[in-house]
Amino acid sequence: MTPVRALPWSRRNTALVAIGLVTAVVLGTTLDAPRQIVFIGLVEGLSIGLLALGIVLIYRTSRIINFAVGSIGALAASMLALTVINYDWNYWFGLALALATGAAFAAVMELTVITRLFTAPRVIVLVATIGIAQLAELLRISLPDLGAELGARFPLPFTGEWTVAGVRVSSAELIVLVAVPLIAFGLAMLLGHTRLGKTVQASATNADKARLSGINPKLVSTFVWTLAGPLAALSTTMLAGTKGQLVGLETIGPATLTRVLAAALVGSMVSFPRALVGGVAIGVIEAVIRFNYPAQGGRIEALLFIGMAIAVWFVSRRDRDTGRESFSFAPRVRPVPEILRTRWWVRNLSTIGAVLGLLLAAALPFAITLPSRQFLWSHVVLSALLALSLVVLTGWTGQLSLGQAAFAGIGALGTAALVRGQTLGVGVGSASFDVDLPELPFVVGVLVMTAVCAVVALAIGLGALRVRGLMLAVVTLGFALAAQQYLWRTSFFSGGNASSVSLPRGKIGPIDLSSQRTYYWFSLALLAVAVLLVARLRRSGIGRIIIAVRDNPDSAAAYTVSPTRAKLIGFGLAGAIAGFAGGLIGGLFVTINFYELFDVAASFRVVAIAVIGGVGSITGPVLGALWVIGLPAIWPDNAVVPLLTSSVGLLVLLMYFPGGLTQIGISARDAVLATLARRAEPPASTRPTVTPRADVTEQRTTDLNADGSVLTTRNLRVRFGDNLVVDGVDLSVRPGEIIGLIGTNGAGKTTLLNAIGGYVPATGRVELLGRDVSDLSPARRARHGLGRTFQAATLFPDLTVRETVEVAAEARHRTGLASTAFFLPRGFTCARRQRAVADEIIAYLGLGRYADHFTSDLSTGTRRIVELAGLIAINQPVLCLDEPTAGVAQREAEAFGPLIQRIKRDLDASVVVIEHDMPMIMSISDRIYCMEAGTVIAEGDPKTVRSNPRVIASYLGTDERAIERSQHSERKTSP
Amino acid sequence: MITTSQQAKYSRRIPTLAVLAACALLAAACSSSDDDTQGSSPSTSPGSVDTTDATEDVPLELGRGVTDDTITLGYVYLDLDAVREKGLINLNWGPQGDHVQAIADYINANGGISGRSIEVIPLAIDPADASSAQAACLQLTEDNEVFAVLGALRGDEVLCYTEQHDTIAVANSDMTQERLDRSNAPYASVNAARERVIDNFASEAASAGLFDGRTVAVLSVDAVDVAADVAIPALNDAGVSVEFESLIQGDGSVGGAAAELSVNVESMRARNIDTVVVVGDGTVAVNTFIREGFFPRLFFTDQGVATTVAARADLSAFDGVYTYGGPTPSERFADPRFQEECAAPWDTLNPDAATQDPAVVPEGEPNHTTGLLVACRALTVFAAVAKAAGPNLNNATFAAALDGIGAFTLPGTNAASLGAGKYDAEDDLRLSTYNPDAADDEPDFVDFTG
Repeated sequence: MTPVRALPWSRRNTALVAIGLVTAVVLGTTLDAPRQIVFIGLVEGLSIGLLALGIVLIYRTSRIINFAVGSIGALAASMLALTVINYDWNYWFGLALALATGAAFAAVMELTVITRLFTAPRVIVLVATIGIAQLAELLRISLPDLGAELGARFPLPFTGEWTVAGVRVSSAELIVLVAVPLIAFGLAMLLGHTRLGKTVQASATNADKARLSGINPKLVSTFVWTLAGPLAALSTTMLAGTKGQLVGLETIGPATLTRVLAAALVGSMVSFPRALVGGVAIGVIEAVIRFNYPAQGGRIEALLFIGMAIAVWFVSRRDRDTGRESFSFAPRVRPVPEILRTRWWVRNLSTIGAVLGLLLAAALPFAITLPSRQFLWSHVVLSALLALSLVVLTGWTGQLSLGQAAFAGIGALGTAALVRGQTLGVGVGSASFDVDLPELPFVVGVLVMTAVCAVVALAIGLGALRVRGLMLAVVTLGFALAAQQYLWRTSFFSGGNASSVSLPRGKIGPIDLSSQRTYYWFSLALLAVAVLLVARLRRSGIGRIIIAVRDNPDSAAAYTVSPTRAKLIGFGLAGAIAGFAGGLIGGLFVTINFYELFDVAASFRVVAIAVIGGVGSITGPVLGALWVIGLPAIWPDNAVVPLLTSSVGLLVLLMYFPGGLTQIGISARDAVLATLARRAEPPASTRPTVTPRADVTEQRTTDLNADGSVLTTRNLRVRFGDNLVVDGVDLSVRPGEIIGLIGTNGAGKTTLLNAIGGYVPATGRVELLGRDVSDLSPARRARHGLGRTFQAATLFPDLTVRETVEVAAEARHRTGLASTAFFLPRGFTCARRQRAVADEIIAYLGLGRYADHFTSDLSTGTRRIVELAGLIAINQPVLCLDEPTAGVAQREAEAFGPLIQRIKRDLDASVVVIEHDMPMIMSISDRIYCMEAGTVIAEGDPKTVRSNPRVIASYLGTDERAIERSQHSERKTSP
Repeated sequence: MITTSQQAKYSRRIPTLAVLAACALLAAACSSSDDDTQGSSPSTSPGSVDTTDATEDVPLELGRGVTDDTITLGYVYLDLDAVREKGLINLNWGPQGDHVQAIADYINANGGISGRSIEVIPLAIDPADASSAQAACLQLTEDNEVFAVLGALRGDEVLCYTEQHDTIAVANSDMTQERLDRSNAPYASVNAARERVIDNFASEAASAGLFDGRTVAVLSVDAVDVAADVAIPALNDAGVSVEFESLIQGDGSVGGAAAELSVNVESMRARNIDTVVVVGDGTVAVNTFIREGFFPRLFFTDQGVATTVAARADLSAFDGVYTYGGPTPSERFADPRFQEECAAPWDTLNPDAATQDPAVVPEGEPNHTTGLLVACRALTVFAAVAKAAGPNLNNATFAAALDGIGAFTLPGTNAASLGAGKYDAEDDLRLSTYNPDAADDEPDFVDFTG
């Protein structure tokens, strides 16, 4: 969970304001900007900033980006306009009702929708807020029409206009100028300096710990949403007041929403002051640019997107997400009951379903012969293909994109450009030149743009490499807007046309793609290939490492998996699929209207398809596309269908089936299998067991440091802010040694291991197996021989035990993307070897009965053994174990001493182990380091350390029984 | 999770799925030759004999959708019910499918077109659904193989017919030179093409001296290309120098456009702009002008926009407001040809839902006049050209007729013509000016008389 920023004005805020002022001065001097323009920008910026505060308020508390903030506000503002204009209410009564409407709507939504999704992935909740926004919009539309007279304007408490220092100030602007800073200040005070605020802060920082302190996080969430409702109402009311428009005030479009999110990003999504300053900066800078370059043709949106990408980069550098957020998008598929595993059809149920589905879909044109219906089915198929990109991006990497339609647009319009042989302008100004591209066949064009989209997705994803969750969503929303407002207008994509380009489908050899039926089959075949490819990748090491990095990047790195590589594969793959789908969608429509097919709303629709179907499942997009695109197309006049596909349908579905429609199918499948299992006769024999080989490790050579050690730290220091957590630690581990690391809680033991592993920034030197690894990433240190287990032993909740060990086996047999994707022999060989390694180690550690269980379903003790199994799979010469018995029952804990020694012996490894179990640590350790306040206060053999007065005073205490227990345990468990 | 043995089987299944995919492609290949309906070459009807012209012994080459007795037409219209339900626009033109059917019945009752009766397939399009128009296009061109499509073809939707499917289109409006250039099939418009309206507007307003001594800006919201490629060149050609261009590509929301407009108003003030030519939707712009106290001389290139704005805002403070276009809805309603050929057929069948002057239709009630105007005028244009094409009706004869028809009568207007290079019918275009003293039942704009 991102730590909540200090609310009072900080040095960073001061610096930001200074930068903003300098920018304003520079702009003001270099560009001609009258004061009135700057003032307009200031008011606009404050309005944006106020909306951003609403986003920040919710995000601080629950890490939800609330896309409904504008719509809730618009509903409330409409109530104000309605009561004042239609029913002649006093303004203040109308405003009170508007605020109450905002509060009531937000509270009801929180209590009915958000609470129910409290533990669901944040991406799912974000989509739910989009549904809430649509619901608010529906309610607003159902309000009576405003009976406004000619020229009526949005109600204000007072009207007037004044000129101050040459600047005209209207009453609406004056209200914004005064009220917004006050509201921001009030919010900062409320949440930063009151008991209530501290409660909110505590709940946001760590909900579990807050519960222990008697705080109810759900209640806190309800409170914050109820507060956010009136805030949204105030924001929109003021915004509408400054615009003065009665007609159309309701919609806060993607342009405003993107600016609001950009402002919130400036505040790292958690800082009120910085979000407000961000809003003002955006407003002023934009106004000055617009004044000087009125015909800017979407360049501001392009600049905004670039700015957002940079902001996310900085946010990710500062606020690295290490939280325990849930990313389990896919409903858990229970293992096939043992008793049914001998039945081939049970084992292959999903394959049988897929083949039957494919056959049914392939036969569809024989039943549906009208070309227009075949077009609609092709649309369903290709929408599923586009949504499949989100399964990879969101379901696997945990990142959400709100710009998939923009990638699809690049695919479609780029293919059209390649097919017509467009000229591509390269360079800027006088340094530019034109490249005449050759006219390519349709299919070749689609493939080229698929590759281009993969590269674009990689470039955009680079900024979000270090963050999880929703930051990429914000950046990709900016990308979608920039594409809609700028990119599509460039001559390469538009072909010089106003709003559409043509993309003739052409032929593939003898196959003419021009008929709807042919194109349907063509699309279906490619969807099947894409699904097959994605399914294969998911079941391969590629899918496992991406999910491992999503679930636990630190543990993945400890297993030598590079989080960067895994995420980039996910980003690139998702971009490629979106671009591929886009090219085919372009071919489907032939006349591609880029403002309608690939706008921001289309990107939201792709998310809805993926989430409704089930973003964690490969079949989810197909179900989602059938639901969202298929149902209205199949039954256009049915009265129930619009309800099912509406915001209400979306919300109900998410509330009861957050795993999407797939969840229903999986539940049914599990129920059927359970029933069959109850009726089935017990099998004659149980499944064959794997006989472990004597040696589960591979031979390796080990280099030593200059001093003969395998691991050495010199003057290692770690600083968190003003706290020096590790203070000049020198540590040395010799070959074959077990080093015990003891000390009180907060002594710096775990941080020391983190510094050794590269998980926290540190100064000093770390030498590992003859090499200085101080500047290496955790994954590269792991690849150099450093093993690591973690105190939490979270592992990878969405992977099974076997998959977890297979992730570790990547160190021995790394999965290649190309060999896996293209079904090359090397891919199969690698998979077989990984599996063999995993099966042997699982058998070796007696984990066979848990092999197909998800690690999150295991007891802590079993999970810790799985973690050790991973280390065996990697075959690391140096192991750093952080409290391997923490959270383990005493009986299980006692087994860990011998187990560690056995692993040490089998791997021929050296071990550093943090442990509070004094009998165990004293019994297995060759030497002990005792830490206090970040420094080593004693070092030596267990006997020496145990008798060290500082150790006794600092850690063991004067309890004779504790000392005696540690003495008696010495070497008791030695082999 | 797959086991090693399962994985081996899985790899064996790949060929199975590949075969299925290949079968799909093969089936596609087989099918492509027999159901390729994209594009259309005129079908031959050997049994048909033209009995009315000189080609007596030559078999007719009738176009797709044309038989000896019938001409099948598609008619598309906006699904205003869906639009209303989504809160987009509160318009109600009544049952537009019934409107066009009534007019078709009237034409058929009066002998049809060259002895053939018209069969109309009406289809509603949801403008909020990008695939709706495309599906309708395929439904008409491929499922029903109509000869021509008429009605509300918005923006580039017409290209699905004229560019993709070689199907004649008689659109109500939205004709542009780009769309004409991209069309393969004959394409006509009932109302005047955008370029012609703006060209005539610029030249007539300039001739009337309305730009003399003025500092002119062009402002557009969501019509950047029209402003840049049509309006500004037209003004320049008319000798008007454009001093400021405010081209706003909005995001579809009022807030987004209004934020930009506030800045642009100041920009115009700083440049002493006193005349603004509004291209595209001007509602938000005018409201912003009023809020900012900026009252230049206003020109609306789109008469519909001007009428809508005038209905919502008081424009009397501006230094003159002008627009250009055809007769007002009330004038069209009063036209005897409309009454006879459009209103009467409907009113006879639907005495309880008879047409009224649009200016007096109560809010919320269906405005049948507008629905009938669109249907009736489109069918009239089609019928005029198709009759001129003679019995051998196909794309080529229709195109030839389109080039040579000249002036003809069109309900709701005083002048209409079609000819080579001029495929937009409406000729009754005039410069009009805002009348601040208009009563509620009077039009807001009156003819400009100098």
